[in-house]
Amino acid sequence: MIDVGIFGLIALGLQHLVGGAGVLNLAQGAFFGLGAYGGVYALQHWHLTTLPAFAFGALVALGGVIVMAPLLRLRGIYFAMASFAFGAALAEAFGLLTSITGGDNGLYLIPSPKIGGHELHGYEEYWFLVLTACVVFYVLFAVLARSGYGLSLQAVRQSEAGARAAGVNVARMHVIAACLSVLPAAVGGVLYAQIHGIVQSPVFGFDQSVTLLTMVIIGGVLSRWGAFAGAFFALYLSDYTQSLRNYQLLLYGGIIVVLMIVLPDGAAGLASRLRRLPARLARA
Amino acid sequence: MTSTPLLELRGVSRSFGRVRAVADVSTSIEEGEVRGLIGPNGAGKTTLINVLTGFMPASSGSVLLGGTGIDGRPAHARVRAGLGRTFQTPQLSTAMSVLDNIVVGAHQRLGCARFRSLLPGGRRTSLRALRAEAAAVGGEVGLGDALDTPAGALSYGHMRLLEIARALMGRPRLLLLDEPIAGMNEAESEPVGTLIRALPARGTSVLLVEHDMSFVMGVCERITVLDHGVLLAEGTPHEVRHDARVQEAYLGSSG
Repeated sequence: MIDVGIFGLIALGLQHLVGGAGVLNLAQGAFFGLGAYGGVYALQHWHLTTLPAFAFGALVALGGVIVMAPLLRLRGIYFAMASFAFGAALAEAFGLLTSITGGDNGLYLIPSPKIGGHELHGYEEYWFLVLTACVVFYVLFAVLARSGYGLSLQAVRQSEAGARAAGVNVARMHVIAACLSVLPAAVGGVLYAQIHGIVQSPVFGFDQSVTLLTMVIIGGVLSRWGAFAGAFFALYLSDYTQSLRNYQLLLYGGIIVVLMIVLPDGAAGLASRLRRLPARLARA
Repeated sequence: MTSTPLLELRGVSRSFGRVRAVADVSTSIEEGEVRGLIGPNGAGKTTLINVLTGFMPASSGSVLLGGTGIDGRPAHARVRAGLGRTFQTPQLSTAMSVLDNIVVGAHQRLGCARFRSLLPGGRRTSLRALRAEAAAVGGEVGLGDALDTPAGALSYGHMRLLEIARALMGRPRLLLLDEPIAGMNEAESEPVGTLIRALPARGTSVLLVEHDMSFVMGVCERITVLDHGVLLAEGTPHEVRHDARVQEAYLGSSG
């Protein structure tokens, strides 16, 4: 259940970019990794506590966005392909930079979360920490969506030419949205590292990016809470499909394709359809 | 000594491969003018608007707004400098309400448009104030009853009005209208004419591209005629109407 919160948080960030800005990012797993490695470095080398580790992890992830920014000029499927390559390159780097990341073997003995001098232990305290982070980011994105920024972002997604005519700097909006979208990924990365006590580079690979995208699509690309519903579904699904192992990505790919056709708005779309169902039945 | 024109075009050209869609056009528009831009299909009118607004780079020549060169500036920077536009095919955020579409037109005055406005003391207008202003502008163009409707549910004619409203929210010094009354009947187009004529009084001059000759003749004081990308004639509606080359271009009577 804690992992549902952590991955829901990372998916929430991805949802902001995919659903909010209409940018299909296939590198969220790598940003998750940047945040985790950044945070763990700060924890282990500088002996910082959790909150400053969040900040440093976020800084590292934002650095990643700056490197990726030129790619954001690409549109649609072209950006998706470029971000795939970007994420793959980072994942490869995670495996090779063993002095910082520990590579495939990973980093161990990561300290438990510590906030304001209080060290957190046990399932309940971890869960409370993760839930707090989820609520904070959920509220942040909900408030942003109602702001002028949210309005302009929506305009960019729906009609880029129209937004440009309205004076919106589309490239800038995409970069801002990408920066915001990696913040929860970085915080999720630090939480993951501190709660599991270990990070290994394969966790941040392409599979993870696809899994995160599957979560967003299952939940519905336009829905914030859908990210958490998607995380819940995908994580429990993966428990049942452990035996499939190598076929898991195939399954996710299949789910994405089928959902895009039969349920383009994901779980959130299904929910709103069900809400309207009584009215439709009454009419019939 | 004349004052600086609002918009000045110096030998503006735009080629697509070997086709010169706009060829060496030089003209200027004065502050407070409502200028018509007419020409047969494929004359290069829309291409010229795209070049002026930064949606397409010019192949050569330069454009000055209020005496300042704006070549090479991206579209959003030209909006900031005071160039607004509408499209032949409406480009709206169809799932957003009419009101929200109009508000987006004030993007430059929102906090996120420029970093400086986010700093303490930076100038920015609250979303609530912009909503009120947008509702007023929506009312002015005749969409007062439709503010909460999704833009995609509007009639074609109303979509064009919405584009004008969105552009006005940017408080443009010059508004470039690309066929604002196409697909409208006379009852619908008349208020648009009244609206356009009233724009200079609120600080917005107009460059109007339109196919409907009688509409252009009724609204504009001066008219520029393009044909095959070349500036064919320029003058008052009366002069243009009686220009032999213009008649030839429109009637295709090549002698």
